Amino acid sequence: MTAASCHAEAPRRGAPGGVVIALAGNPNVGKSTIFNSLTGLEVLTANYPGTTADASSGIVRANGRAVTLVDLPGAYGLGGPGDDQRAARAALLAERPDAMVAVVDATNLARNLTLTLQLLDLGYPVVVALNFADEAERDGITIDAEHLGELLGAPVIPTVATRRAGLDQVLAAAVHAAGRGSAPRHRHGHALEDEVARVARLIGPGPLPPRGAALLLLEHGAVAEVRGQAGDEAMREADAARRRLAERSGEDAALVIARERHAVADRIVAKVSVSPAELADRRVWRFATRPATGLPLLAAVLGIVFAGLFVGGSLLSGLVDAAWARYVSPLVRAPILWALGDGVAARTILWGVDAGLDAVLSIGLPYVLTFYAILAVLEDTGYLNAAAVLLDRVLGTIGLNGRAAIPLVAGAGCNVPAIIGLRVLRTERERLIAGTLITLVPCSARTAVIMGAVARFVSPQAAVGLYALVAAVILGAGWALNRYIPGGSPSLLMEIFPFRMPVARLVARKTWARVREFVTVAVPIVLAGSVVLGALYETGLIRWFERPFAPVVEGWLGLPAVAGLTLVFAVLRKELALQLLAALAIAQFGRGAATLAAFMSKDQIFTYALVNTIYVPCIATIAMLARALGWRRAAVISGGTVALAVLLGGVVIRVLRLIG
Amino acid sequence: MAATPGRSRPLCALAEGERATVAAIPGDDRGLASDLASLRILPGETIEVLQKSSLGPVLVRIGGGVYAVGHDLAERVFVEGR
Repeated sequence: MTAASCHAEAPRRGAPGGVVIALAGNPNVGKSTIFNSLTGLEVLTANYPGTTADASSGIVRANGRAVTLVDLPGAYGLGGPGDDQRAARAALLAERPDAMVAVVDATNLARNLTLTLQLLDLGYPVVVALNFADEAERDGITIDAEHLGELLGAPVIPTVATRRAGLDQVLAAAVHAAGRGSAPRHRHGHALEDEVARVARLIGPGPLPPRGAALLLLEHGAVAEVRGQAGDEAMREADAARRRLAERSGEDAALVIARERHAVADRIVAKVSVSPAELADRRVWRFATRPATGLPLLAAVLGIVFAGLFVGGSLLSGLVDAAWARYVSPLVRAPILWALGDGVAARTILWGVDAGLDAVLSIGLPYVLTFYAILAVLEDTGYLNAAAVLLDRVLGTIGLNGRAAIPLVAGAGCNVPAIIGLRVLRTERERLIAGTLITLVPCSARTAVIMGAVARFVSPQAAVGLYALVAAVILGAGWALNRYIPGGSPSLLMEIFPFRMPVARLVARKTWARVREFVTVAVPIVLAGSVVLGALYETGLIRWFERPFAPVVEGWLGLPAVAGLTLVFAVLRKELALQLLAALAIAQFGRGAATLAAFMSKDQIFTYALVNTIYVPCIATIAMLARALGWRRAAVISGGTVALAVLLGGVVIRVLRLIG
Repeated sequence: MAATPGRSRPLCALAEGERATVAAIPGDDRGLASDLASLRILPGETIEVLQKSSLGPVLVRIGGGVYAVGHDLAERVFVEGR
């Protein structure tokens, strides 16, 4: 297995005789960067929490052994009822790693150590990767790694994940520690440890050591994953112990344990670390998150993104298209026409391998590549974190909070991972609202259509207008959902991270990974779609297929019937719509006249791109929606967006004609 | 465990740069309480307001971490002293 996979429920991974090592840590401490560096795989990373929603795994060799490395979703703890903690706990118990690498942020050691302490409590052999060691040093924080290791009973290795520093040592130490078992050196207060011991006595052997299982039960009551090992008697004792702890301290047992853990971490950090009172400069943050300065900054960022897309994308697009027409197309056409003659068969094949491939490379790729490069820079600076704070209030009016800004922005790349990212939201209601709205966010494929059709053949201003219209639709839909779904907007509670300078190598790697996936997924679908449409066109059968859509497409939307057919095909991939339209234009008017303007009026191009943007996202998104929200909701959302797109498209083209 | 109403005030009443001690966190939502606890937003801890705006989230520092706390949550976390 070399590819990353995402099945937290799958049976234990790893080759026979191999070792399984899991990376655990708080959100945004660099777990995925470490994972990518060690495995050479591409789990997407960003400078904000929640990028890794599922456990990913990859195989590496270290100390002459096959090592299965598992990247767990980031969480602040393992014992809580929240979705992030439950996901991390479930993945941990399913993977049964032989050793853990606890990745901690050296600039916030005390809070990060509480998770390390939990891993030690659960009996895992742990190696601590003290990440951001360079930033801590810059901030004037000194940490005695060796002493910290002695206090924890686990090796501590300073790392700088973005530069690969220390990572090989971490891996070697983890392989060395694997399967050795460990007994935590730290102890909580007497009252808690006595209760833990009382419950642990009743717990038999199982995946967790009795003390670890007992602590989980005390922290969160009936943890489903431990129930089997614990048995009824231990569960009853744990409930009684929780009540005793609560009576004694006047607060919930979960809080008692959290407090104890913070206290232990504090005592340890006080012994090993010296840090100045005030750390990072917060002026930049203030500038980015105060409405008076933050909103203009946001507008400027969006403007730069748009200009980058327009200039970079069109430039690339023009270059690729010219090169294809001049050098590649003749090479492709000649042998096919020679072998098959200029008949229906040859022309159908040319639809795929000439016009279809040209369309992927000159329409899809340039805009998608440019967008992902910009997105990668934006993600790694941590700007989205600031945008989340800035937009908290606006998102509050549509039933969400600032946290939802992150999946919504991710949706502008691709809806599918954005829907996976819905897990960072706490309530079902938020996930339903945000999931619906994500499907309306123009993903990079739809942006390719907007930029490649509207910005190029109508005007850049019209493209901005289209985005503004879609944003208004998203806000309107959010407002309506918030009004009609019972419940309220939950409060924001989110960690704030400093801005960081993006590392060019990591930005390039991330962009390449996303673009590679785009090309490998898109090319076969576009080839197949072009050949099918080409066959229909060349044989004349297309008239039959256009007919059922004609009343809506021609009558209501005012578009050529054949354009409607490309919109239907676009459910496979949204950028396919424009690519097929371009291929149609080539077939009808010949190369060189491959311009949409010969085919449709400006009003039609605008309406076409709008309908394509709003109507049901691609099948991959529908499938992911069904997984996240259930089939019924996925069907309602899909049907709803089709109705909305058709309704809006018909209105818009009439308005455009009216205002000329 | 409940805040003493006379002396404690909601977190959102603190001014920028002001420090106080957390007196009470909302007890009606166990998931929320557990999340607050794992970030160390717990009674007895010292909290400092770094930044606030009229209705937006309050940015606080507590236990070495910086967090954005939504305005309505900041109305339900109580602080006292200083």
